[in-house]
Amino acid sequence: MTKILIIEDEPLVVRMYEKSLRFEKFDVITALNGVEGLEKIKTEKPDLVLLDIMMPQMNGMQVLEEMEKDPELKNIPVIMLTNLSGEHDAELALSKGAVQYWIKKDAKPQELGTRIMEVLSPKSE
Amino acid sequence: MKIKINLFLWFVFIGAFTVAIVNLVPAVIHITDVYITLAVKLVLTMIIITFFYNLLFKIPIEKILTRIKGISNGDFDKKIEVKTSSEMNEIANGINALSQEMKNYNSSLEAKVNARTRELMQTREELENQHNALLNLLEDVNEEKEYKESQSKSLLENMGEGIVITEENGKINYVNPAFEKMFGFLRQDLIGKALSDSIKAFDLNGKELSPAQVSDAGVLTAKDQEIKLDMFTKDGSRKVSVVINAAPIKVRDQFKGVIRVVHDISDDISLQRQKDDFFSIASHELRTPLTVISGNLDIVLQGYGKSQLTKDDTELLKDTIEASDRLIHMVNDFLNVSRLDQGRLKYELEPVDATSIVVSAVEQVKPIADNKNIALKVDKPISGVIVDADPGLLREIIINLVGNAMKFTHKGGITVTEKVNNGILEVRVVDTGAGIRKDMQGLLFQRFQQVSERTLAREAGGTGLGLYISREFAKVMNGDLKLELSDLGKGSTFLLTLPIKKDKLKQ
Repeated sequence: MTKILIIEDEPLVVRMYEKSLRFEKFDVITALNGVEGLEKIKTEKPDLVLLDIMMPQMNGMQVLEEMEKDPELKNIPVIMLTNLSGEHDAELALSKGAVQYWIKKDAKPQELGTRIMEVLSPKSE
Repeated sequence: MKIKINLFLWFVFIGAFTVAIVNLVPAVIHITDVYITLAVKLVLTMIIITFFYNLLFKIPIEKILTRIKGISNGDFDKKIEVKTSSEMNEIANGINALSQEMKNYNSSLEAKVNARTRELMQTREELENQHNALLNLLEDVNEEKEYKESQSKSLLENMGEGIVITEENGKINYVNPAFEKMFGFLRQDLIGKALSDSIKAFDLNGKELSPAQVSDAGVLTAKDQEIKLDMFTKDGSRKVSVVINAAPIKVRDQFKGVIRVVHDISDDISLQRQKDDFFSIASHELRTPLTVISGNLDIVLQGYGKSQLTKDDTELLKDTIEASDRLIHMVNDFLNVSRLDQGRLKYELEPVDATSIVVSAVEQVKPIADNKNIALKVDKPISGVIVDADPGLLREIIINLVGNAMKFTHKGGITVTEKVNNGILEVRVVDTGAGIRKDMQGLLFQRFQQVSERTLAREAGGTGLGLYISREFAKVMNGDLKLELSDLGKGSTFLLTLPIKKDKLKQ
């Protein structure tokens, strides 16, 4: 099973995506802040990380930067979760190595599964 | 009584009388001596002549002379009588008449003089009155002037806004207490110096103003200038955000200096910031639970919770999801409108491929269209069209237009077309829906529609703000949005125009 790590500080949102992804047969682990998230990336080695941008203490951008620094982690695909109406932070995240961004307020949770599969399935060059 | 005896007659009588007496008396007295007779005759003659001389000449003449003297002394009243001879009588009468004339003349002259004097007195009185009236008026005017001056002074001294008056050479001539307080200055430290000696100013972009700009430049020609600045005391200890209204002081068309009204808006700005923070925090906080509501309901609806849903359950869930989606939509709309109002819409224009955004926006709403069995497609998208736009705003516009079309279209389809025309990208959203009544079309893009007119919005289940917001977004990107055509039962076409980036115009 594909292992997905959700790093998001809002428990309601975490549980929502968790349920949705579990039904779609993903293995889901969660972390409620950036520090815990980084740890779990290292220990659990997920196939993909769903990363919230706005988090206290360590925000998504900082987590991303840390991931890029670590050769083991930089290859793990990251989808940024954001509610910001400006696309700039998300664009910024893309430039820092995130693969995609996902605007939470705009789309239904079950589409997330589809998007994850798109990211993970090898694309023809 | 006319005196008939004139002097000639008297002379004749006197002659005869003298001759008679002179001859008679010696004869009667029997004087024999010749020489004594002669002497007696002489004496008698002398006596007679003297007597009649006095009677006819001396006395009347004296009377007359006395009267004349009296007349010349101003005594016009006495009258004289001389009855001894007609000549003298006439002279006396003439003198009397003359005297009377003079009296009359004098009286009339006096009367005239009196009348004139009275007139003059009246005139003088009038003049005096006018003089007094003028004096009073002057006093009133002075009082008024003093009052106004003290009012002005009082106004300047007590008003809440700061006032700085500089002379032609740029040196400060006057500051009021409000200005002193704003910066913690003392009047005496500022007078005679240039404003830039004590103040540093930065515009809203953080750029510092040169001393010339702080002092006077630019005000000479400007009629009215209002500038927003951050002003700092020279030592940087105090910062005040201000709006300055500067106006030149002109005396008879000559430039004499500048008066500046300095309005402290630090409070307003901090209030604004608080309002913005509130809005942004509130909307952020609102969104998360709204997203979860909608998301979880959807999950249950999809059967992820593993329960068997009845038809009723399904419908209930669908309606609840729709309601919650509307809430999300409303929060976004309110947030956008408030941002637009405050001019605080966050956006960044950059060169983007318009079609890719249009296509991705359409794809985002396609699932909903599929659900409603409405055909939705982008017809012949043109690739390589670069516009200066904010991708988020552009996406919102397309989603709004397509979303609206879906609300009004129950059968048929929605087509999004593109066309390049004279350097402008035209994006059309064409639907085969209910169309919009001609008399409602003017209201489409307005914010505050009356309740009765809101049926349009209510049918669509929205706030009615979407088109207003979308048009504002289009304008921000130097484009426009309008209803190209629509009629009842015939569907609608909305047209979005955006200028194509000039150096990327493709043939």
